[in-house]
Amino acid sequence: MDPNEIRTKLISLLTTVAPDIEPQSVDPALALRDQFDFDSMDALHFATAVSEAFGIEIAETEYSELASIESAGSFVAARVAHAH
Amino acid sequence: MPKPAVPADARAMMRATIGAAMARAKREIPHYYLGHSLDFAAARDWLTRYNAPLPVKDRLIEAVLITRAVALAASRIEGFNGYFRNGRFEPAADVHAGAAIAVRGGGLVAPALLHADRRGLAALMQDFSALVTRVRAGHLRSGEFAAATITVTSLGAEGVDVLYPIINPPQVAIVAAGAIRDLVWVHEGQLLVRPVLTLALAADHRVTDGRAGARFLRAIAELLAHPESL
Repeated sequence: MDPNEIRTKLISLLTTVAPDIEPQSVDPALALRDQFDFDSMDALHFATAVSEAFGIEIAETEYSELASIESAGSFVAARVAHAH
Repeated sequence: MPKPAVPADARAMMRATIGAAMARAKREIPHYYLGHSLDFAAARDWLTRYNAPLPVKDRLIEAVLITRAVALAASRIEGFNGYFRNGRFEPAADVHAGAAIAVRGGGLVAPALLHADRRGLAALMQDFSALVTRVRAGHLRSGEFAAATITVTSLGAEGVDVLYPIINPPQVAIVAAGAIRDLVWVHEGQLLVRPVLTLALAADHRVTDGRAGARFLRAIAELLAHPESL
């Protein structure tokens, strides 16, 4: 999967679990916590969506990789590449 | 910017509602405050072991353990679960734990996790998850606001150590959890770095005194020290 495709998918997952976020407002480099007041339940919902959509396992210690769309993109790209 | 879950006038209304409830609380309720720091290592280790084999969607978060501990303690120690109405305390038979949830773009709601004292951790987690989803989608049911018999609030994600909460009338108690922070702590006679959680209780002096409040906080701490009992 190319990085843009992954990023688009991640933003769509984000706005699915948090419908109060406008997709065009997302700054991929910023932490979701700082940008959107993400709490631990939001973070878990996003991790669940990413895990299920990309078919990857995410350990609890790896939640921090999903802090921003950018870092989540790198994490997912590495995982997906590793799986193939 | 976050898209407001509610339009601007509805947000202004929410702010007015919060303001009216808190002004009433400060005017009418003689609050007393107690704080208690506890070693969260047992709870965190238990949580890590519980979560490790599970898919993300079935995992628990710390807030659920804390809410469950508060609900169980409230069902066992009298004077913290219920309403102060018509000049007297009316204890509630069930514990409906209000979960304070920040609304993006401003505001705060505290809808109830019904029967939190009788829901196991996995069930309570599902309820909590669904509640946050409904808050985010702006689909809360009106009954969910009024049902809470005690409130649990947390600002841990924002990194503050302690928050001093205000009781949500007609309730008589609120428990607040700060950030769980690694601190130097004396554990079995040794200086160790442990995850430490500070809980703060605000309770209504028309119903209980500090001694009962201390017992209530200790009961919560004891439950969190033995997470298998949750």
